[in-house]
Amino acid sequence: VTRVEGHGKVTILLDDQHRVHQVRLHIVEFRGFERFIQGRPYWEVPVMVQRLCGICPVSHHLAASKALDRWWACGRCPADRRRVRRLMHYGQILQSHALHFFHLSSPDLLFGFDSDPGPQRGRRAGRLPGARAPRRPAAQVRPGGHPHHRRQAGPRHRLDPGRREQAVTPAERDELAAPLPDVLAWAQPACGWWPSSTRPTARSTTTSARVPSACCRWWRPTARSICTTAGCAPATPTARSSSTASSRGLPTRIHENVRSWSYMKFPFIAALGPERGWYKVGPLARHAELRRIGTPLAEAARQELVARRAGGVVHAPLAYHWARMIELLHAAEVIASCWPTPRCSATS
Amino acid sequence: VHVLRELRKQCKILVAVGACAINGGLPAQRNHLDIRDCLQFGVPERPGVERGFIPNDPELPLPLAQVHPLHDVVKIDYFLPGCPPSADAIWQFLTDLIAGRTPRPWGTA
Repeated sequence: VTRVEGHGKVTILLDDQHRVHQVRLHIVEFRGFERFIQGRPYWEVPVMVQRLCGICPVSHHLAASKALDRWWACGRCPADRRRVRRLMHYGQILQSHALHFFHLSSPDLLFGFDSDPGPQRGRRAGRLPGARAPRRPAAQVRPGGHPHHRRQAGPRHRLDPGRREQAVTPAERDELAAPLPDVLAWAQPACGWWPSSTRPTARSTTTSARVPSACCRWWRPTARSICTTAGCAPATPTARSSSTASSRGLPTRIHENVRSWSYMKFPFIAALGPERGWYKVGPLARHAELRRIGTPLAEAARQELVARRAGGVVHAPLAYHWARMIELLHAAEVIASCWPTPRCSATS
Repeated sequence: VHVLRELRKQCKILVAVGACAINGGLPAQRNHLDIRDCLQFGVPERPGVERGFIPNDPELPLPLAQVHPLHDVVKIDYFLPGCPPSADAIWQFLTDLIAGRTPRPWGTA
């Protein structure tokens, strides 16, 4: 990837008959991280790239750390360090997915898509009798993830150099692990909420804004968790892929296009070409190629999604919510599995 | 710059929030580089990149040659530093503002 930018705007171009001719997502911001990290001391880079994104600073931090692992040729990093990285990453996923679904998206789902999108809706959400079911755990699920990456990454989710070297005291471990049983208990019904609440209107939720495309996710044959960086598994719009590329092989598998109207570059799967080779990423795309989730509760929830997709690939944008809740449950399980071991608090 | 000037015209109180607004932050690291060099980075020399040109559509704001703090362009009334500013600092600032008080510097009672 040779450019990473964020802020955007959408323009809708109409033809003479006022029909939609083209819709463009413009990435309007240019910062130049890719260029100005060149020549900096290498230990600064993981801290610098956290500033690429306020939503996923941990992902960028860990990506840079792993790149430096490789550059140092230090092989696989020690088990304790891997566990700490896992805690950071899944803490981020847990709180971010909870924020997205419960705080930002649930008003749309509660009131239906034809409801008035005005500012009153958020206030009404809190007064609905049914609203409490999904929203109340929200306020409690999100803090279940926050402290994990805050503990590892500092109070502002920006890792202070060396902070990860500090041992976790038994008291801190107990404090961080305490909410996990509750988070697990709340995350399970959240997985069932989407399929149960959308069943009566399944057609609209499975066909609305459905745009088939290829999908991509990171993949490793033996991985128990959804986030790994060993290889890249592209899936075509209609079928799961049997071929994967190692991360070193990506430059030949993923190419980039440039357009005049966006600072973002447009990556595509080279074998499919620039028109058909664009791909989705994120929770639903990860599920397109997923064969198993290595934690039992999330795997059981995933099986329901697998049954719904009937062997194909789910492209309905609204199903992102469902996939996101399965990942939230998975994240809580991974975090819980990290904590009982005393090695997480080792001083090494 | 145009949007910032418009904002200033419309605002009674304009606040610079975060390191990028106050001193350019990390993006100001490109100030010793040529902007064209940054925009072309990775385009011509990387295999697989096609049609390597610099985006130039009128819908895109052109980057300035240098990154500037906001107060280089317009008058700023308050500054909330940090990358990011702490949630508590933002909370205290807005609470003071809404209550009609002069916002206290963060860290003071």
